[in-house]
Amino acid sequence: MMRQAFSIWKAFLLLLLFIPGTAMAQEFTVSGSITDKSTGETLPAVNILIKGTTTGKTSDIDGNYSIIMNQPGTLVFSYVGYQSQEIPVDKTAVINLQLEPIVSALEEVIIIGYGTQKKADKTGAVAHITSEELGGGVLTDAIQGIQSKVAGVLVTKKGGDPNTGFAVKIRGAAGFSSNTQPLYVIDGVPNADPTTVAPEDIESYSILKDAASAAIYGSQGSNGVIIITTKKGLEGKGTLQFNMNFSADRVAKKLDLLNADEIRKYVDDNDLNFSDGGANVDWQDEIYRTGFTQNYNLNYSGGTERSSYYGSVTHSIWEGVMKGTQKDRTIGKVNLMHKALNDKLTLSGSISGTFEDNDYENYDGWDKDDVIYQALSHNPTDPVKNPDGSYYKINRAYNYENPMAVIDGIDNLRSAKRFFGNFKADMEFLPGLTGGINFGYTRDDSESSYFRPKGTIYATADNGFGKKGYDNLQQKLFELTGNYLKSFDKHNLNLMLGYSWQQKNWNGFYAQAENPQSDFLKYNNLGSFIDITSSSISSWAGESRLIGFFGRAQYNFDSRYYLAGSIRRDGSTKFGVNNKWGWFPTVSAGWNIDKEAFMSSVSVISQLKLRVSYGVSGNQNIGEYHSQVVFQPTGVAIDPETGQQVTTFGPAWNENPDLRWERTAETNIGLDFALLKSRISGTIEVYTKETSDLLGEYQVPVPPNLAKTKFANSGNMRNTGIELFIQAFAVDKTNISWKTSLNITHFKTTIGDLGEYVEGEVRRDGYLTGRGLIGDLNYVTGNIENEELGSFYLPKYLGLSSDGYFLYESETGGATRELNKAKRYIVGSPAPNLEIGWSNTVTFFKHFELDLSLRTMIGNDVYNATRMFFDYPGLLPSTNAVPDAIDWKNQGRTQVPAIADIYVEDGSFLRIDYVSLGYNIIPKGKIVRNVKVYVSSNNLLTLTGYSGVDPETTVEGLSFGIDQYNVYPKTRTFNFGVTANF
Amino acid sequence: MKTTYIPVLFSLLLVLGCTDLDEVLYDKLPESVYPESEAQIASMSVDAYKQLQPLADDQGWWFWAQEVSSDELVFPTRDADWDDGGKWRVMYQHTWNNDVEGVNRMWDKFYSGVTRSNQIIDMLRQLPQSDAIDAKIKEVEVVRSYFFYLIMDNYGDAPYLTTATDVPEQPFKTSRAAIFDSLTATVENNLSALKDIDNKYMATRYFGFALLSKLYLNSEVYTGIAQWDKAGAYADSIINSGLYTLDGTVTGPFVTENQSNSEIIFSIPYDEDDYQGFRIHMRTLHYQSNLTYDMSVGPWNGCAVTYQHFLTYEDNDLRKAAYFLYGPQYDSKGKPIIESVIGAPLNLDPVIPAIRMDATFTPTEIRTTGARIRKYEIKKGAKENLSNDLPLFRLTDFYLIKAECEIRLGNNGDEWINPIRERAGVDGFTDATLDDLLAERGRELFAEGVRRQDLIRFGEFTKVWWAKGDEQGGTSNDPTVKTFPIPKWATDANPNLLLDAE
Repeated sequence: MMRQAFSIWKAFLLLLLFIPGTAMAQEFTVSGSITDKSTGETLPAVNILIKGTTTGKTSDIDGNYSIIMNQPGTLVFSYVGYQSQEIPVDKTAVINLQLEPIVSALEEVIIIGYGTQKKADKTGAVAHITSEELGGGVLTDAIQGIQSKVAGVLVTKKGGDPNTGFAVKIRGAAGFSSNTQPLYVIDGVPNADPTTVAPEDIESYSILKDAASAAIYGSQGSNGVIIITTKKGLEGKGTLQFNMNFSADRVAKKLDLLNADEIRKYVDDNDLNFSDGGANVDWQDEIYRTGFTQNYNLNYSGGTERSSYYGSVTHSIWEGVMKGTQKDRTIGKVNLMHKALNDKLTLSGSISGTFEDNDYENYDGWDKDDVIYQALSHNPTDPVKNPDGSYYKINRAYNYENPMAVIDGIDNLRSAKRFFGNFKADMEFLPGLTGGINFGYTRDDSESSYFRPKGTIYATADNGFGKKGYDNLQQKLFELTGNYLKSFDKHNLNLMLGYSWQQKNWNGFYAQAENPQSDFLKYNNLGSFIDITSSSISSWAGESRLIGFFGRAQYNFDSRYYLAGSIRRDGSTKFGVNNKWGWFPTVSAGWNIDKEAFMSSVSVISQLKLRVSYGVSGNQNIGEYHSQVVFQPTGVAIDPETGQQVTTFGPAWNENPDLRWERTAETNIGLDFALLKSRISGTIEVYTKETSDLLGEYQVPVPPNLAKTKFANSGNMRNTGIELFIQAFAVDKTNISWKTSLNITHFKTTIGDLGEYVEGEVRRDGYLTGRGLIGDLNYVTGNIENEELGSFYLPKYLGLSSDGYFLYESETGGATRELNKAKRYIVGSPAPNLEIGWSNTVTFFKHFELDLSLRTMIGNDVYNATRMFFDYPGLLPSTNAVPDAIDWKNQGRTQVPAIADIYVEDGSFLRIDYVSLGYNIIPKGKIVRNVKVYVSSNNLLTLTGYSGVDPETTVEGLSFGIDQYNVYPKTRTFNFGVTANF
Repeated sequence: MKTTYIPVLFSLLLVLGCTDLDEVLYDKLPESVYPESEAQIASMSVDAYKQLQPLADDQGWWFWAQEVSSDELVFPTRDADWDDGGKWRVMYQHTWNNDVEGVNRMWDKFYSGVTRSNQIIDMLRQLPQSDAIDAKIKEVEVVRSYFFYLIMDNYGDAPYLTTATDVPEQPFKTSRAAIFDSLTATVENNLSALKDIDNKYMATRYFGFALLSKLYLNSEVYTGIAQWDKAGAYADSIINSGLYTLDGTVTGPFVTENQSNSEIIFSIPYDEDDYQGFRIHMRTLHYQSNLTYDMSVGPWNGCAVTYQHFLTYEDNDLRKAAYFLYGPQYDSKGKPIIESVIGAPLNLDPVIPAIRMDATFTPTEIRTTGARIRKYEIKKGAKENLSNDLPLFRLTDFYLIKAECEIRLGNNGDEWINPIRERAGVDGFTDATLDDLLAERGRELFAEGVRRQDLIRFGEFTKVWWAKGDEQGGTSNDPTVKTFPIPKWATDANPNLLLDAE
């Protein structure tokens, strides 16, 4: 007490005497030496900072430090690669510290199929991302988080529709007809839908890229596997977290079309007849708006030694930039975990419910209600509304409609309820021997509604339409696994056996009718409609099952030499009678070079691991019942004998008892490295894979076949690639740190053999449809043996004929106007040569965090079909066209839209995916632990030479890279958000 | 003890059959189940007739191919509409190639008809045989013969298949003349098994007579040898049967409810809701003609009768007003319709300035020229599809065929032409010539799918006419246009089709 009073007096006196000076009387010195806890070595250049200030020093070359302080405070000791320590000090003292090295990234535990593994022990190509690494920026979708973060994983989305998801392609997965999306496993349940997981609930992603890792999922794994694990709660008192963010979206780029005055000038210059609507309207501006998005998340987690819990509620409202599109979603989730029986029994469960409401607009084609096509082709001289407020309608041409009348007048909605449940029990029977049982259940129910009133929306008479439909999908999962761990001497063994049973059931129903008698009733009372025909109602149902037996053995000697193998026997109801079951083996090996004696002197390298793997996985993602002949109704007809209506039946497809899984065999060589105590770490992978027995739907001649189509396995493809991933802590000082990671991917997919059902060497894909195209030869993609998948295969444009038609180079070397006589050649490939993602996180001034992520695709070509459809001068002046059309007119073109090589453009781009600046506030009170405030922008800037709206198209399927106007525009987003932990 | 849990569990699973991979069907019939009942067996042959459904519109293209390639009907390109890449224009101007929609689809749908008929015949042959089953098989064989008649008429040489099992994947073509012989033989052989009744949706004996009459009528085109006498004899069998009588009006066979019309021998039973596929009114009427008929959908303002054909009708010919829609247009309450882009009362002018009208033409020329087709009644409240049955064979046609055969054999055909002319309110002929007959067929059988065949038979198909072969472009006198080329998609799948017929 007395001492305290004395200090206070002292401080007061000093303050009076030395206002701007240092309080020398209060001054004290803290000094000591700093060593590495594990090795005892002294550590030079350790940062010592007085907390809450910018005053600091570093330790000297011998690891000694000395710092003078004016008042009691906390010293923060930090050094890259070591855990920081904070020591409160209030008087002169000698404090020696021992800093502990950070558990290296390699000690991290990653999740592989049916188990976990230390990163250091992995032998396959597995990428692991935790939620901290996702960085800033607003995520609308669980999958968006990994975009440009993982080498070899291409995440693309065509446009910015909130109602559609992302397409993911791992290592160029490709097939003829089969689905090439990877398998999603959420909390141990395969085939769950990632859009039902709120991004805030995700703990980590594990991406199994090579066959050796994915084959444990057997016939579902050949496109790669993405394992999503949600947060489980940690030991400690409950933490309440609140996240909130708001964003504003705007269309990033509009299509350059003619405006009203340019059309008037064109009419004058060419002396044409034109009835002018009298207005100056930019129809793209009319249908687009600034979309506002809100997202709220509240989660509570915590745990004790034996149990943990995590619960969250998320609510999001995304307003699309196209008027009439919106998505509302609410997700509630609870994860529980409890240990019993002396920690030998672990029970865990997860339940989540997702409720979604979607509002759609059609924009896929060139129909009356396809809003984008109508807006692009609508004449800019036509006003939006009449003076009396009703929508202006005029019948300039077939299917010419006012897109705003369509957006406002037509209801197109969906409401979905999805449930996800998972329960697991793992029991340790004996030391090293555990068994587990896993149940999963998902259920998706959706209800869709559509209403178009009679006669008031379109410029031409219209009978109106109403529809209501229901869809239900259920999946059940049951799995048994057993695990045995044994270590003796330096040998370590891990054995696993398992059984998996999955069943999928679906059914659906819809009713539709025309000629509604009341606009108020909409689709809620279909019985009031007048025109109900035999095709007005429909129902359907189906089922499929997948069963697998699998086993895995992992062995390592002294954590230096690794050998692993697995085998899975899968059976699916979809395959033919002769091939229901299949075998999927893998083998892999690894060598931790850095642990060898000869490497111990090389201290720069903290990890160097070489691994090789080989595996066979399968793909069964083709519809059901295709191996047998089935009869389905083909319509209603009148039986001439009785004069009554009957339903006729016909075969749906031909049988194929040999239908079997698609097979992918892959060899992967990888090198994991870490330098300078993991300051720099990374991975290089090289792989080659061959997919054979490709599943496809083929047209076959009738007769001798019963039906026109047959599902069969035929053909093969090769895919090779290199992936490089480097992560570096470039700067790690007290005040400023910079973590950067770079991933570079190069892959090439080549067609091997097209198979027996394709005549000749070229498989035609990428058929375009649209106004003006005639004939059956309007395909732009040629999948040719020994050439790259998806190559653009087009005729060479030579010029215009004297009467304005396109001239192509013909087979004989001359010129021809006819597409069927034109010689085609490979113009380019829509697959990128290189994809590079560069992410950075910079922290500075202790409180600020800057995230910047860039992505570039180089060498991807795009077929600009929008330009092809809109540069035809015949569209003018009644419907709109791109400015090129005027040039064509001046050249004398009379040719309607036609396929040619002049429409292929280079779509290479550099895009700033997101930039985010966050500020951490550490409040003084005890209630709020920390608060983070951030502003960010998604898709801030795109640099590209491409003339169309967006050079990025979804990389999926056999033909891709085609930019046709029916794409929801990409948006630029600005966000503001707050995260608070209590 | 505890370690045995796992193997025990596994064996339990195997025992419990948790390896069951049998597919369970819910919404489709497995092959083992179909046909399920007598009713389904009886309705099997109905599917053969159903293959005729797409032929009246652009799914099957047959009706439009016969009309547009002739001199009587045209789809002018009206600024941005009806260009469709020229698919209509090339048919009119005879500049098609082997990858045009009409050529592609006719082949596809004709052979769908052949294949389905053969599959049904094969399935019927698997069932226990009886007189009824045998009659059914013969009936379907005659339906198949009709499809082959269409194939041969339009494409010439083509593969001739009589079964759907054990057939080569890439069959060779059979010559037109050989197909002709097979068809006449099959139908003549099956006549006695066909029902001797008036049923307009079934291949009755009279359907057989009608088909044979048509085949023999065109025998010179198909085989080089004329057989007018046989054509006339089969026409007689229909005329003298007493089952069919000429309708008293020129519009009777084409009204919406024409399913019981006394003239119709065979038709496709279209219905606006349940058997769709006939929508000539959508393709011909002006955008605003829906106001005239209180239609629930807006038409597409396309095809019209050619002016040259329009002029072949005398002013007092009842058919002129009955078949064509021209002049000032009124809505259903009698008020004139104001054209939305022109801003003046709508007046359809039969004179068409050009086959391709771009924006250098006036909106009046583009949007309102051409007399439209209303031969098939457009009822009040019509929807996108018509309920009128489309007659494929009607009595009037066979009257004119009889007349033609008589004239060609050197006799007088007036007694068969004149009832038709008198019904139409014009004077009869005396000593009608072949030219008169062709012109009368053109007037009477307008928009019934026969004009192309008639022009070819009379050697007129390759002559020059408006917008074909004249200064507006097009070809003429190219004899190869008398048959369509086999489509590229078919020759790509089966190169044997490029070889000469056996």
